[in-house]
Amino acid sequence: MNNQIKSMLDALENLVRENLTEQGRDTLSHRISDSEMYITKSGVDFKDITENDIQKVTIDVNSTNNEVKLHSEIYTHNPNCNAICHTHPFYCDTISETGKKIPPILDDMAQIVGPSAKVAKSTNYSDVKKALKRRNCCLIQNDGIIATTRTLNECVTACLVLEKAGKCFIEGYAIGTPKALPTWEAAIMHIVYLKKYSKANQANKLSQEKED
Amino acid sequence: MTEQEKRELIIATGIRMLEENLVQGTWGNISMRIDETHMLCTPSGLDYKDLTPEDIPVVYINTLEWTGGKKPTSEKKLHAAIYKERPNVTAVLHSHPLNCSVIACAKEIVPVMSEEMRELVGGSIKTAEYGIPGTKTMANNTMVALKDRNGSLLAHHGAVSCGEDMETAFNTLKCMENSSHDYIVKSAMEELGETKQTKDVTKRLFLKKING
Repeated sequence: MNNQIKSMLDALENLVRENLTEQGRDTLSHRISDSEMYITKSGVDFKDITENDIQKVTIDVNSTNNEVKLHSEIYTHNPNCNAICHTHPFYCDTISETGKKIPPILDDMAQIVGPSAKVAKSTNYSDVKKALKRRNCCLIQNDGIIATTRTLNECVTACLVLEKAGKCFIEGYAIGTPKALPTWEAAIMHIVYLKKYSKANQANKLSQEKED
Repeated sequence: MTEQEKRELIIATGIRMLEENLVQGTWGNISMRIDETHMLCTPSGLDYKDLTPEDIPVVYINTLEWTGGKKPTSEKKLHAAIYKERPNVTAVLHSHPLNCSVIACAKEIVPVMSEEMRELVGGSIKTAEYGIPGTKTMANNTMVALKDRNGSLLAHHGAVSCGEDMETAFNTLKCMENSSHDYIVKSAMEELGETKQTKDVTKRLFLKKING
């Protein structure tokens, strides 16, 4: 088993342990090069995935497989992106059904995800691209979340932080109203996170995820 | 307790926080007072399970300079502010527990939910006004919310607890998390007019409020 597949299995285990997945609806991919990626087989529950369910595929924006197509589009247009997860954690999946965006109610969400999590109308790249502008993650109408990150490690963290924000957004209504940080402050936090606090750390993690 | 024993206790407490879901990943930070002018502070970004006693630096409470070990948490200013204000405190825990975070995002107060909470926290759990993590503003705002209390929430961020020993500080944080959960569920049930607790009560209340 090469290190990249092992890294994917580790990430999948983390996603399952943190309750960030939904039986057979989720996909995780990891870029190999400009022309290839590893991607999890459709319909397989993350908790059941083995090495044999991780496929090496060509990055193909014309693929007839919707997930391969979407991941390919994201990789093709975002050279810094090396890991993508499309998943359906409980709170974010609920919010995605309402069409509401998640505002920056947690500062770690602002840092790691961006100044909000907007809603893409569909999994068509043109819709996802709009929702992902200046952000790492977005919701997809009735279809969970997409995280697009530099490493698998950051992908798991982004999903975890966004789901925590989703919980805060939903449950905040039980005891009051969730309050947001100022958008400009949240946007700066995200920029500082990407450019300063995490750059070296993520570069190291990418090497570890890929080296053999 | 010797300094070595304090180092080991810090690590054991971090692992315990992970096991009891009071922290995720490498987030959160823990400190213990050595004397009037020195504290031990967990380093930044290291998994509690991988931490060794030698990794934990000594930080000067008044200047925040540090020696030995790895670079201390960026939130050392918060820990120092508590030790300066509270000579009896020997342990401080800062974390982002999920239910505390819900309350912190709504900037609400958790009323006294039990005698245990009254005894450990000292009364209601207040939310400190927001300050960017690691700044003097955050530390000062937290000290306001901590007046006559052993724990408080930090808006958009998390929670902090303190105690005359580590066990008390830990039990206070755990009580804050449990009390926050109970307050959220109780509030949702009351608003929906329900007497039987169900897993999705907050989700149903959210959808009811969002959909009008």
